Amino acid sequence: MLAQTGAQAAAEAMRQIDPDVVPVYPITPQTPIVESFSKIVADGLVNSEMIHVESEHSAMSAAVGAQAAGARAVTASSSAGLALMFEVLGVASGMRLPILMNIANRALSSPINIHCDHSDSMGVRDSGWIQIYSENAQEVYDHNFLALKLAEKVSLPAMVMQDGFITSHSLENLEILTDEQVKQFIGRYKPQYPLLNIEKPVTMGAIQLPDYFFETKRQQIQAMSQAREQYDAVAQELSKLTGRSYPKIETHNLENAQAIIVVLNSTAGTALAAMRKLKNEFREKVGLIKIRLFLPFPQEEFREIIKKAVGENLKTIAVLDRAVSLGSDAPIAKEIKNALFDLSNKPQVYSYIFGLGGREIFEKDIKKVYLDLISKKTDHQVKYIGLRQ
Amino acid sequence: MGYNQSQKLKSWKDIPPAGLILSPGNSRENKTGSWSNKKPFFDDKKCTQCQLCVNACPEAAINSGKDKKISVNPDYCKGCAACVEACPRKAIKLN
Repeated sequence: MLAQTGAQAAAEAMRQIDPDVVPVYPITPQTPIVESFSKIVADGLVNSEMIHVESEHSAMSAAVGAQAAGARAVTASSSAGLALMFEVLGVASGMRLPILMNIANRALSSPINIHCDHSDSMGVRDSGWIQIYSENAQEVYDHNFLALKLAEKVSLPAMVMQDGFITSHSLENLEILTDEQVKQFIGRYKPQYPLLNIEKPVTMGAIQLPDYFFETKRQQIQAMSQAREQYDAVAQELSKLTGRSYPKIETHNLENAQAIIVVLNSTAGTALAAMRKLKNEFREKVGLIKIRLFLPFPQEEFREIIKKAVGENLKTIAVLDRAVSLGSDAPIAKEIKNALFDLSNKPQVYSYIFGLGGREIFEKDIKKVYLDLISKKTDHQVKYIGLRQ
Repeated sequence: MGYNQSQKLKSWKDIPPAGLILSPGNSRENKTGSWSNKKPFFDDKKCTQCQLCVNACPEAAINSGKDKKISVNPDYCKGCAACVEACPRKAIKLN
């Protein structure tokens, strides 16, 4: 057991993965991941080649080059850094390179703000990366191995999210695996067509015109479906090592719940604590869903969970988003409405926006959402938690 | 006359991942006319085999045989209609 921050947990996982190449550019609040890992490199604890690049665009480009060559590449970013990578994120996924990236979630400018919201990772959700969200440092650590193994199985890149500052800078207890266990679990990276294999030369990243581009994109769609199908097997294998479980959608107290909250990352912990502190008469009426695998979104599992809950008692769902999709519904709310569209017996879905730019959310705020849902004191207007009216 | 391209395009299940090219020298296999929507058709009654279309074709996809009979190679014709513009007899139509 170690006392580590979320950032240190990510760096510790990277130490045990011992990636061949780590091209990275520091940005708040991801910086302590880079700092911790560069100390690990300086101490000679890994064989990784750390490349100090001049920007995040270059960081992701170098990761693409390294991974294409046949190396394992891991990087990390936040906010504007992730935004600067945008072009190359699509190159990584289009070239089917299973790069692993740690994200400490931070608001996007403008106004400039260094604190947590999910506008960065939600802003790149169409770029073909697997997205796994983490509630705390322990999940950050565990999800690194889970994401890497899943990514390499289906040849798609994966990012592991943690809340900037809230998780990345908070000290928590961390249970770690032995180096040998991690090595066994992730195995060796065996790319199908490494660029450096001179026995079997290949051309990567060549132009594809209207006659084949569409077919190549169809393969990527298929790979995302495979990631959804193969996730459980990888998660169960990791579970055997850690004793912790990693369902795509984590449910709490759904039996007999009339109202549930859906949320991801650290606020899931806040919501769980709030739920447990409700008075008995209310507590038995509410539940919580934490989304771990956001992309590929586990639509069918979600639909089945809700179908079962509606069959019991479920009437309303509040979806809490720490990001906005300006001019449209918030990202998670949209996914959930989409997933439930085909259900004949649908619960009401309400969208709540919270925590933009690091605005704090407290247990009392979550409690109020639950009480509003139960007492039906809500409507289909989008609600803003913690905003001065 | 109808055009049959020599290259049959493959399904997404039958091509390498990520648009990879697995063998060198493959530009020979790349039939650049595969993405054209229309091909030129000649009206034999109007055509005088003047060869102006042969010179106008940017892809060298129009040829004339020993009998001076014009033929179009659909594998490389991109349907640009330069031949249509060049023909003084308006004997070529894109279809």
